[in-house]
Amino acid sequence: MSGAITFEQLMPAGPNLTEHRHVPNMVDLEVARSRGAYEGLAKALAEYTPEQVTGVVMDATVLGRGGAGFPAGRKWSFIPKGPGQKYLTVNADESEPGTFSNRELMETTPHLLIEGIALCCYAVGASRAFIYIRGEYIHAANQLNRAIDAARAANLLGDKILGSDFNLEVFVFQGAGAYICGEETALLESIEGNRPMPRSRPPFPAVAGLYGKPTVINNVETIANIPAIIRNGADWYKAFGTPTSPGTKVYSLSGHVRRPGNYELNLGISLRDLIYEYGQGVPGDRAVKVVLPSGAAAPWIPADALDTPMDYDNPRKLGTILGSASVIVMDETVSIPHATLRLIEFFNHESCGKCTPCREGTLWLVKALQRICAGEGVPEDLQLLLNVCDSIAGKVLCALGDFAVSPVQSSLKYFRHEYEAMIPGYPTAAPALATD
Amino acid sequence: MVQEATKPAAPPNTVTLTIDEREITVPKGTLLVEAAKSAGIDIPVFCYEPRLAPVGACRMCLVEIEKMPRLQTACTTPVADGMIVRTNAEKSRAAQSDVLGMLLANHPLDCPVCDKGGECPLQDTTFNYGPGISKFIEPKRTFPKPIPLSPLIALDRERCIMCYRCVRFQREIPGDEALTVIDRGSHSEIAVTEGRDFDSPFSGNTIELCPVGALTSIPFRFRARPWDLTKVPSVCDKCSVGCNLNVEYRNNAVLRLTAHPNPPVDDGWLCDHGRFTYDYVNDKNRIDRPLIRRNGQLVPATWDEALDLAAQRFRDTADRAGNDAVGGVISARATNEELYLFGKLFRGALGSQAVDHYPRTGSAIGPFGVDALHGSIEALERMGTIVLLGVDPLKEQPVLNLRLRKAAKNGARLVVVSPEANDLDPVAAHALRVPHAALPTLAATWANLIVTEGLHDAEFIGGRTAGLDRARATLVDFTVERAASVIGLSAELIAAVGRALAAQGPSALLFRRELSGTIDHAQWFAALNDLSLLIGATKEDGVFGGLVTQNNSQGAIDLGIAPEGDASPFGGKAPSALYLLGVDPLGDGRAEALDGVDFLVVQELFLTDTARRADVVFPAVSWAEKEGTYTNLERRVQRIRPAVRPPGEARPDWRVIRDLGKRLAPNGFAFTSPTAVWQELAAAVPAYGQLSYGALGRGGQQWALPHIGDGNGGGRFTFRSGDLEGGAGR
Repeated sequence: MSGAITFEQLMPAGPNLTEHRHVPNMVDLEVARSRGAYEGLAKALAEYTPEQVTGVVMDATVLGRGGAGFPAGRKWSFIPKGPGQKYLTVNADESEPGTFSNRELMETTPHLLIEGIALCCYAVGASRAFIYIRGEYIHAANQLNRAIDAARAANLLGDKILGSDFNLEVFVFQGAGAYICGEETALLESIEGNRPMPRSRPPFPAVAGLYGKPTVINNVETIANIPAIIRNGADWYKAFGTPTSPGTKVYSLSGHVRRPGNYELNLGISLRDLIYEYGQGVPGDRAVKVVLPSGAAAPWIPADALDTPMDYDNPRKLGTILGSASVIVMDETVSIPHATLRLIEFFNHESCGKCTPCREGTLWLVKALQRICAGEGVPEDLQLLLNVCDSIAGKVLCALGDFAVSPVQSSLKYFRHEYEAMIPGYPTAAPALATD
Repeated sequence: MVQEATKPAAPPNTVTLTIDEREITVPKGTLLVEAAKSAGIDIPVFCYEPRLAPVGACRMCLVEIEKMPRLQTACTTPVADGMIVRTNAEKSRAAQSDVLGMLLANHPLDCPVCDKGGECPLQDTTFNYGPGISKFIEPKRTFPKPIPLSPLIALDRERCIMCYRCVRFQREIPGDEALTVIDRGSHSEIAVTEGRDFDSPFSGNTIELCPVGALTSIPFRFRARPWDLTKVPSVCDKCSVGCNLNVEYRNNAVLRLTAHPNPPVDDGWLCDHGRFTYDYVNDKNRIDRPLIRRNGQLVPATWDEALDLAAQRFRDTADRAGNDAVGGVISARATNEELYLFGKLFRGALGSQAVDHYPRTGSAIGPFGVDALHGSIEALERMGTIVLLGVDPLKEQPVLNLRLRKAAKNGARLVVVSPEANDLDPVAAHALRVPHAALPTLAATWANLIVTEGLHDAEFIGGRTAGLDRARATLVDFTVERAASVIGLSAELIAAVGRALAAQGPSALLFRRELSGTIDHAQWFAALNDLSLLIGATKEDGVFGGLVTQNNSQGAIDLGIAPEGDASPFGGKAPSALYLLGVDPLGDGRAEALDGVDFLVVQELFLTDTARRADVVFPAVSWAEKEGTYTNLERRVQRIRPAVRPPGEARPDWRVIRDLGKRLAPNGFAFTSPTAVWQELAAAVPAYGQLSYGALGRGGQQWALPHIGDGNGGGRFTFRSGDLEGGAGR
């Protein structure tokens, strides 16, 4: 082992979002501007109408990085034109297990996000933006506030920005520790001072969002993509990634890998490359058992599908999604039923309780899995687990309930034998497996 | 295709869709659940309640909609043209059964000891849509059994299915955050907000809204099963709104009161005072037989003894000291039939003018020439502007307060003028603190401002009113500057609010009839009259009137149960013989009313301080024990019905008055029922003669105001400030 490896080498800078991740003091406006910060904003205000900004973003096909992959430009185009209060809300409530890319981005290069916010607000005619940031992200919130103050002092925010007619105030709103606040309408409720519970849609936020006004809600990474697109053009952006998934993505790699971390890579990199080239493989050279492609929230990818390109299209063929591209690797030592129980406990803990299937169903799954893991399962339990999943999925008010069934369904799909082995007297009982 | 061609075109602003193979046309914007209901198709719901904003929480109403991949909640989905919906196909049935399975998983199923059992939507829906057997074999979630949320309401958290109806009701309808949800997910529970008490005057509605036995009435808990109760529809007698309710009784005891929705009056709500005040009906200390004073002691007597004695002494007094020496005061809570008979007893049989009702409602003749509210409670929902002068509906007409909040939610601009903080302040466009004494000045000032600045509807004023010029001359001194110095508010504010009143759109003006302090009520009513004309509150779509306070104050006004001149038995020359029906001056701190009375007859439920002083006591009956009609604050006459039998020998009040009449007059008192009294009353009072008695028992009917200035032979509205000598308010 050579001791000469540097952090910069460990965590290489990417071509766009993480380009300046290793530059010290990027929170300082001077440093940031020396690296091109706010050039995109200046260009847009000088050369583009708001519609043209939206047009460039639409042309670049920035797919929403929060997980749903909805094109940002189209989302912006839903905001009604004309006068009237509109809002941008940036979803920085990064709470998905294994997801930590927004955090680094906000901590190291806050001006990138603020410039993106200004561009989005200019495009949709919003004069107020809220960054809803996870409560634990205290350093990131401080960095953002410092950057906002500096930008405001330099007339990059506030009234008549850079001599234009564009006014904007940006507020950092710190959450209080609820996963559900990452759900966009629960997030709006939280900003409004209400109990964070998802709203029933329609109306969609583009029609009636924050305080009942048209509202764009985008993820941090989505917004952070915008300045470079405005600076360099849509074609520059589309040179990255794949034709249908353009751009780069910050992949958060964690779990059983030697080198976990954030890697900004072209969309479409395979899991194998991500895990073995960037993550340097599994400690002890153990075998990968399964990969969770999007934190706790998406169906799993088994070890025999590691060559799947991680873009917006290919994971769908396996019944899963790219999501937030927060890849959690589990190796052969993991007891799948125990891991599943832990994941379901998380969802049960974070369920807001508003709708019946999620509130009651996740509790039911926890209780049944606890029993199975305690060696008290009965053969009917496995079908019961699937039935409970069926009564949750597709019937809930928001995506949390749909997410919650993924671990149970995936684990039963790929590792049913591990459950069977735990259930006393299971008809086709295999030899018992070590569970720790 | 031929059928297509002959099909009549759907009316505009409607949507045609198919639910369960049936084509349905409903207004645009209708929610699927309501569209289905209108076609007689039942979609099961728990969280959905038409009077509250939909939330889509319980997921019970999931239905299949063609071309939509996921099932949709019928309670949040508006109809769309050509939508094809299935509520009973395999997918939706399975979802409904699954949701019920989840709701029941942790439900205690303690139906045999649950108050809601027998009238429980969870029971009924499970029976209709649920799984027969639970697949849930885990230990249930438990909580300590019921905790009181208030002295009236207990919460059983195990039974709660988190539909949030109670929390939503409190927040959306009375605008109160007393209830909340604490904790999260499967640990969520309904609770009283930290630092608050659940002291909402409308809390009882949450018991009825609760679709399970989670919220129960502490006074009613474990008293009876719903199927053992007999329900009699009636009308609340606790205030002038006249909310409809069911008197529910068993073994001749009233055990609870529940809403009997009459939407134009009450929207299906009751206030807690109305809902929970019934114990007195069952009280063992009720007077249950007539009493007469012998040797200084009140002792039981037969009805004939008591009636003969009272009649004889009334006759003797009249003969000796003149007819007006016999006086009577009847409660403003009595029925129209009782009021009418009471009036007939005094004016007809005894020839006395000394007859009155109590609490007394002073006369406030408005522009319609009668003393009654123009418009209706329901019309308030459609107002552009509502001006409230000195009224406090939360305290005096609670359920009307809910209607005013609803109006504000619908976009009405409320202008609340009151001496103290008012519950409606937070939803008002303007809330002004003005003492009673300054209200006449303020009304006259606004009238002057509007007419001076020409903000009124000139066509209406020019075409349908008279006397503006004379009024104007009188009002001219009422400048905003002068008002500012009298009231202590800035002239700018007074002017700004005054101008806001003149905005177009339907207007309402509701006012306090009797102001405290030294008030020139003639000036008060003249200013109100003129302001109402200038803001358009007297137009067909407006509302104007003074709010009465008792359940039948309006009936007492309509039937003229008030003396002429100074003959009032209360306040004027005290009569020698006095008959008090449901009136307790000693209890009300008005002992002087009995000065000089040497023969006192009292008809009461209880031996009040006044009854203890009486020479003859007749047992009265409660509103739950009698038949008759009440007239509410909007002129709506509604029927009450007897539920339980009165105690002992007590007889309905109308019979007691009739039997006195029979003893005092040769004829005219041969009534055999309250209905017979109504028939005579309706013939004698033209406004009541237009009403259909049948309709009075089915939601009631408003008697019609005379049409004025509508071009159909009516006269014109008249400005009245000009009638006041020397100008108003000097």
